[in-house]
Amino acid sequence: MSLQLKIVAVLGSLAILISQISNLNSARADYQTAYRDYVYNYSVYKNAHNDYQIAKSSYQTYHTLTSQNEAVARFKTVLKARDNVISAYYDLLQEKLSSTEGISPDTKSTFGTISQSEKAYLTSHQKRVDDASTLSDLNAVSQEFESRYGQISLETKQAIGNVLLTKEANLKIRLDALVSDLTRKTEEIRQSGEDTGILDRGLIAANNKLDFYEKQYAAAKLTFSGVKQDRFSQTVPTINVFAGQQSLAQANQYLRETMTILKEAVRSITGGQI
Amino acid sequence: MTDAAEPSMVTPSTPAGLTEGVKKGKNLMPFFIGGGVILFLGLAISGIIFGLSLVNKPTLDVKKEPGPVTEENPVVPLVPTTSRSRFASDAGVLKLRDGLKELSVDLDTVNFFEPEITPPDIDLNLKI
Repeated sequence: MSLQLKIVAVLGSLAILISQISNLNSARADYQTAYRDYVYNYSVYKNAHNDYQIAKSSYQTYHTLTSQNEAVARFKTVLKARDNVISAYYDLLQEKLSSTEGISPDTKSTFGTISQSEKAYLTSHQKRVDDASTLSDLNAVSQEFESRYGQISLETKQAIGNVLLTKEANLKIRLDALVSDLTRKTEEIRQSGEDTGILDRGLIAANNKLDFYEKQYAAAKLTFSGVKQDRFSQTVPTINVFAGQQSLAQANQYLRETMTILKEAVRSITGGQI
Repeated sequence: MTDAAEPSMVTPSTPAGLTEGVKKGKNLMPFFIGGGVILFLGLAISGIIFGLSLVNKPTLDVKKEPGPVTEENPVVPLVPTTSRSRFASDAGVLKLRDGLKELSVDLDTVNFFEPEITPPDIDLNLKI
C-alpha cells in the first residue's frame, strides 16, 4: 500500500471516529436541552395547577361571575400546561432513546412516530381547550385527555422500559464477551497441560448464574411490554415500572455474582488480586 | 657324701600365691596384662576394618546386602501450583482481568431508577 493510501485510510478512520464522538456528544446535548425544557414546562404546570386550585376553591365558595371567569381562565391554563408537560416528556424520552447506546434504530423510529402522533393530538387538544368557553365544556375536554392518558402512559412507560432493558442488555453483552474470552483461554491452558479444574468449575457456576439472570430479565421485559394479562379486557394495559425496575435490579445482581465467580477464576491464573 | 656337700639345684622361686593358683586351676596372668592385650587387639582390629572401609576395598569376601537405591529427590516448587500459572502474565489473561475490573465498576454504578425520566406527576382529575 502506498504512503498516500495509508494517509487517506488513517484520515478516514479519524474522521469516522470524530463523527461518532460528535454524534454522541450531540445526542447528550440534545437530551440536556430536552430535560431543561421538560423541567421548565413541569414547573409552569405546577404553578398553573396551584392557581387552578385557588380559582376552583374561590368559585365553589362564592359562585360569582368574576370567580367563574377566573376559574375558566385558570382551568384553560392548567389544561394547556398539562398538555405541554406531556409533549415535553415525549421529547425527553425521544432524546433519552437517542442518547442511550444500544437502542435499535427501529425502536427510536417507532417511538418517534408515536411521539409525533401524540404531539399532534396534544396540539389539537389545546385548540379544543381554547375553543371551550364554559366550565362544563372544559370538564369534557379535560376528560378527553384523561381518557387518552392510558395510551400515553403505556407508550411512555414502554420507552422507559426500552432504556432500562437496553442498559442491562449492554452490560450482559460485555459480560458474555468476557465469558467467551475466559472459555477460550481455559481451553488454551488445558492444552498446555495445566490443571483447569478451578476454571472449569468457575465457568459452570457462571453459566448457572446467567440462567437465573435470563429469567429475571425476561420477567422485566414482559413487565415493560405492556402485554395484557387478560386478553379479553377492553381496558388499556398498565405497566408497573417499579416492578420492572425490581426485576432488572435482581437480574443485575446475578450479573454481579457472575462477575465475582469470573474474578475468582482469573485470580486462579494470575495468583494475585484482581 | 653328704647331702649338704653337694651343691643344691637352684630352682626359680615362684610366689606362693602363684603356686597356689596353679594348683587351683585359675588364670595365671595378672589381670592388667590380659585386659590390656585384649583391648589393644580390639582397637587394632577396629582400626584395620575402619581403614579398609575407608579405602572401600574389602578384603573379606562378605556379601553386602543391596543398599537403598539413591535417587535425587524430586524438586518441590516453593509456591503451590494453584497460586500462579504460566499464563499469569499472558496478554489475553491480563486483558480479561482489566475487562472484569471495568465491567465490575459499571455493574455497581448502573441505575435502574432514573428519576429524570420518571413519568410526571400530573393531575388526571381536573374538573370544576
